[in-house]
This record gives sequence, structure tokens and C-alpha cells, in this order.
Amino acid sequence: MKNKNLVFTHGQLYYFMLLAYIFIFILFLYFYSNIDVYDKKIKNYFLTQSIQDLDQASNHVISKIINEDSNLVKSNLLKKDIKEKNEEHLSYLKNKDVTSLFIVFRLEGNFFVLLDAEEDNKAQVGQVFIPEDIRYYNQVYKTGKSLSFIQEKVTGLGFTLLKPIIQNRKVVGLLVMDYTQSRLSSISNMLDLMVRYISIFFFFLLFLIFLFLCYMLYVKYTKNKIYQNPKTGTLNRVFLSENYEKIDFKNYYVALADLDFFKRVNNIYGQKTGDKILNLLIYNLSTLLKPEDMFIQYSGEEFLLLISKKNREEIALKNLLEDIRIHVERTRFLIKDEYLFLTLSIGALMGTDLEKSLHDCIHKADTALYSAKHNGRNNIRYYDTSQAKRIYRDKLQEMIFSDKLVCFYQPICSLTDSSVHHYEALLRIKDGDTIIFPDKILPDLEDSYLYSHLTKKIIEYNVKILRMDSNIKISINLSADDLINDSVISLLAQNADLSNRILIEILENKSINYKKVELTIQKLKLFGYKICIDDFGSGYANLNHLLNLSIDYLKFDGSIIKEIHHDKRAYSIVKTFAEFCQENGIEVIAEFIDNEEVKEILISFGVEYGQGFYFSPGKPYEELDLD
Amino acid sequence: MKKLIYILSLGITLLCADIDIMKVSDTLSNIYGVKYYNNDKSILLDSTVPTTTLKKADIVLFPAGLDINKITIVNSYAKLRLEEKSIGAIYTFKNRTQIIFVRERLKKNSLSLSKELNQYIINECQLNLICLANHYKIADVF
Repeated sequence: MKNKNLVFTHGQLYYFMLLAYIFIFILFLYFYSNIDVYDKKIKNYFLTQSIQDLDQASNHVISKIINEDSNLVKSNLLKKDIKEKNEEHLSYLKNKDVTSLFIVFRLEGNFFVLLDAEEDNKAQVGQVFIPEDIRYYNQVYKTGKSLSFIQEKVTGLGFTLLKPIIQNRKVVGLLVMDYTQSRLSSISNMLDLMVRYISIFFFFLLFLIFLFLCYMLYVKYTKNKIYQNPKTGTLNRVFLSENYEKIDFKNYYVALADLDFFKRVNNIYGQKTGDKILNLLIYNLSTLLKPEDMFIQYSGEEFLLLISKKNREEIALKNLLEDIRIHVERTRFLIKDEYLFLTLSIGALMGTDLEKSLHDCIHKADTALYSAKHNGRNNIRYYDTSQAKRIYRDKLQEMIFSDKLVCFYQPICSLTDSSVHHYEALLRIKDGDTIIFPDKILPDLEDSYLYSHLTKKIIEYNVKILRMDSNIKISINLSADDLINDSVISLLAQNADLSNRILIEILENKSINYKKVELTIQKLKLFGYKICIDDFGSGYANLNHLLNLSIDYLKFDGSIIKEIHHDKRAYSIVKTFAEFCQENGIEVIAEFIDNEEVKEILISFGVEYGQGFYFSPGKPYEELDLD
Repeated sequence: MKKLIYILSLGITLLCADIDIMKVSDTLSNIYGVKYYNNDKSILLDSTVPTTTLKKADIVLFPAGLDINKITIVNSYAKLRLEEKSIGAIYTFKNRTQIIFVRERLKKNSLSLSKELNQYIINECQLNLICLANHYKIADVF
């Protein structure tokens, strides 16, 4: 099962490292095998630069020689007196460092001596000259630029300077100046040093590139380790939160699967056994998927499945999910001479191309999962976007406008003394004897005109309770869209006298106009309202809320709180943000507290308030114990 | 007489001082189908150069003091110009080993060199200054 190339597997890391080693090794071999060539080139270059002063002196002599003749070669070949005069000029350049000083010219590829400043072993007029390395001589003829090179083939010479003699913009000859070895050695130490430094620098650079490559590979590999469950090799929630934007959800069907009553397994057999069973199950389930699918451990016993749509129709998805469900149902675990059987509930969303974000897809799959749980568990439910809206909206519109809307109240208590601080108003709709929960209503009302009507109804309902009961304090859930809705703000402003007993909880929202929302928050705070971020930790946008909005309270999402007593990462996250809130004067509420252990941990973090079944479920106002 | 020979030998030795033996051996071994007699014992040629006795040799190297009717390779530019029997010359000039062969003389003696040695071959005319100036129309070229 692949991870969409977002991370490196163990094998891929070694593969790429091997490639990097081979590449660097080949590069190193190439340069090492050509080191003499590069050494020579660099030395010759620096030699040319270092003998600029010698080069300058010859210019004066050359200009004298050229001025004497209208045609340098003809005059010096055929007129003895001119030749002797020019050889005398040439001899002015002689010194103890110069062994030979002569001028050659080229004719049909061969070189001939024109002038020779030496007396001993003097060349005959027009004597053929075979250069030690004809390429240098031809290069100077071609480029018209001086060149110096170290004499390696000729014993007794240090280096040679070739200087072009240019007449009428044409190179007509070359001045050849041979220098002694002692002259070379005075320069060569510096040249050796330069070459050495350049070589060291170059190999150091290669080494740095190699280290950088290794580092990049290591980072990718480390991310892989962070993203994966080491026992099962499957992805975890950290991977999801860091790669939300990179996952192209429209190419996947989204399903959420949850093991039924798994908490009992932990309670009965212990956390260790529970983890072993979980890992085994995860491993088996992941083998049912294709390499292009993703299996992400969403929370303890909840899994997010991203099933690739490639070559897979909806019927194939249904078959796959059914296979998964049956596989879990038929798997038996032998624990202490007892057989344990488990079941799996699955909620899935098929029409992901209609959604705006992966978060929305997961939310709808979660709705379907909820439905599966409520319909006896061990089954699969699909979120139906086409029909549900039609049915629900018509019915909900009727319910909202016929006052079937009620609120249940769940207490938020102080963790230290369990006293009630305030109540959260939880939306319910009474349909005869049936109570309809918000996850069945709200997803269908999103982006519809009914949503703002609903919000206003909720505010009006709670204002009525607050006016009736002068002691109770209530928190009301509003979305970011509500906060920029003038009619909603106007309603809150009208009831500003109750603001000291109302807490506004801002719901998780995928996109938010921070400037406008912050403006509204400032207005509400002026009225005396307190502001809370709800569902903190459930989505990726929360951190931006924290940084960009002026809040009084922060409420941790239940999905992260319920893990803190056995998940190190959840523990650290809650602890860190609790500290952050304390330092910034923000009071913290934790929801979904359902046991003493979680409560004690939260107290140790300095969390002030808690909410959950440990204290009380949500109840109608009439059933509250207000004493 | 003895003194003269000694001075000549010394002169030859000095002239041949620092000669690139490898370059010379490599060149000589690339002339196909010939055997050499080396008259200058101070120059120790590589074993790749096929040598033999004076009688059996096709080419005599550095025949200073020898009166023979064989193809020669002389040890100076001046001698190359003067002696028409010599097909080439090997000597040092400005510390550089000079190896020169004359095209027309090679042809005359039915000798051929491998392509790598083309850089050492000149025309007969290039040995003569007047011929050089006239044939190549030095005034026009330059």
C-alpha cells in the first residue's frame, strides 16, 4: 500500500541514497582521472596572470620591431640589416631568467624562425621550427592573445611565454620567450598552493552536496517514521494533518470505520492486549486494499480509508467495504482460552467530487458512520447527498418554523470542585417522540438560507431561558458565517443586557474571513459577550483562529481529549496548548471527559473546566439540577 | 686528426644533449620496413627501433665522419640543407628536439611515414630561403 509518494519507505531511502552515492562517486572518479588536465589548465591560467609584468615589457620591444617594417616577415627574411637591427631590439629583453628569445612565423601549418636574439646555436634565416606542442602556438595565432605554459616535455626550461605580434590586425608572428626553471619554481609554489586550495574547495563542495542530499533523504525518511505506525506500517493522524492539502480527495472514496465496543476489550483484557489485537486487525485490513489506497489510523479504533477511484466503480467500493466488514466479523482472537469476536461499523461517502475539502468528506463519512452505529452497528451506511437534502430540508423547514426546535443543556464544570460554571446549549429537534441530533440536521443546512434562520431561533430560545432564569449562564454555538451575518449580530446586540451570562462558541470552519470575524468579535466584546473557540484540535484551521481572534475561552475537541490517557502525542498537544492558554489569559474547557483518569490529567495541565458524560449528559432545561 | 675527431664527437654529443630519446625512438620505429645503423653511441635508442650493422642498414643515423653511399639522417639543420642524401635531421634547437623529414627525399627513396609523423615533414623548397620566399610569395602572404 503506497503513500502517494509523500514519504519515503525504508527501501526507497536506501535506493535513493545508493543513487546519490553512485552519482557522487562517478563525479569524483571523473575529476580524479582528469585531475592532471585540470591541474595543468589552472596552473597555466594562474601563470599567465602572474607574469603580467614580464608580458608588459615585451610590448614595447614588439612595437619597435613592428614600426621598423611595413611587412615584418618579408623584411626580416630578405633584408639582413633590418633583421640584425630587430634582433638587437629583441636582445633588450634578455635577462638571467630568460634562456631563449626568438620570433617565429607560420606558413601553411609549419613554423619558421624569423628572428633569434641568441648568438650561440643561432637559427639560420627561415629555419624550420618544430614546436614542442603545436596546439599552444596555433591557439595564440587563432586568439591573438598571449599564452604561457609550463614546459613539461622540454627539459631545461621552466615555462614559455608566447606573445602574438599583430600587424594590420593580423597575427603575423609569435614572440617566444623561454624562462628558466628557477624562475618557474619561484612562481610554482604559489601555483601549487592555488591549485591545492581550488581542489580542496571543489571536493569540499562535492562533500557538502553529498551531505545535503543525505540530509534531504533523511528528513523524508524521518517523516515517514513519524507518519507510520511502526507495528503495522499504516499511516497515522499526524500524516493526515500535515498532508491535508496534498491529498487530492476527489480521486478517492472516503470511508470511516470504527470497531464496535472496542473500549470494552481494553477494559477487560488490558491496554496491551487491546493494542495487539488492534495492530493485527489493522495489518490484516490493510492487505485488503490496493497500493494506491490509503489506510490511516484516525484515532484509537477508528480508521479513515481513502479508496482510490481509479478503475473502481461504486459497486466495487461497496464490495470492498463489505469484504472488510465481513473479514472483521469472521476474525476470532484467542485470548486466555477465550475467543473474542469483533464487529466493524463503516460510514462512507462516494460523491467526493462535489465536496470542497477533505475535511468535509470526512465529516460526511462520519455522519454516515453515526447512522451505521445507530442502526445496530456491524453495518455499512453511505452518505446520500442527492436524496437526503430534499427530504430533510423540506421537513426541517417545517420543524424550524413550527417551533419544534429545543435545546438540551450540558454542564461545563470546574475540574477542581465540579461546580457548574455554565451550560452549553445543544440543538435538538423534537419530531414527536424522536429527538433529532444536530449532525443529522446541520450538514444538510450548510450554505442554505435556513441556516441563519436556525441560528436566530436558537438565540431566541436561549434568550427566553436566560430571561426566565436569572442565574443560569449559557454558551451558544455560532459559525463564522453567523458572525458576519448582520441579522444575527443585530439580535445579539438587542439582548446585550444578558451578555454577561452568554458565551459565544465559534464552531470549526474551513474558511474564515478573519478580519470581518475579528471586527464582529470586538463589537460583541464591547457588548460584554465572552468568546470561545470550539472543537479546538479537530481541524487544521484552529491554529489560525488562535492566532487571529481575540478569545476568552478555548474548548478542546473531544476526539483529542479522549486519547490523552493513552496517546503520548495527544497528551503533549493538550498540555502544550493548555500552557499556551494560561500564559495568554485564555481559559480552557475540555469536552468528552468520560473518566476520572482523563480528568486528573487535565487538572495537572491546569485546565479549568470540563464537559462530558463524567459530569452529566445534555438534558432539557426542565430536568437540570440547578441547585 | 684524433683531436679533431674528439672535438667533433664532443660537439655532436653537446648538440645531441637533452634530445628526447622517446620521441626520437617513437618516430624512427614508425618508418616502415627499414633498419638503422646508429653511428652516435651517446644516443641510446629504444629497443623498438630496429638496428643492425652498417653494412645491412637501410638508413644511417648521424653519419658524422663516415663516407658511405646510404640514406642518412643527420644531426643538424645546416647538414640537412647541404646533404641531399639525408632524408631528415634530428637535433635540438632551443632545448627542443627537432625532427624533420623532407617529403621529396622520402619519395625519392621510396620511404613512407605513418600519418602521425606528418607534422615533421616539410617540402624541399622550405629548406631554401629564396625558394621559400618565391614559392610561397611571402610578400603577398604577409
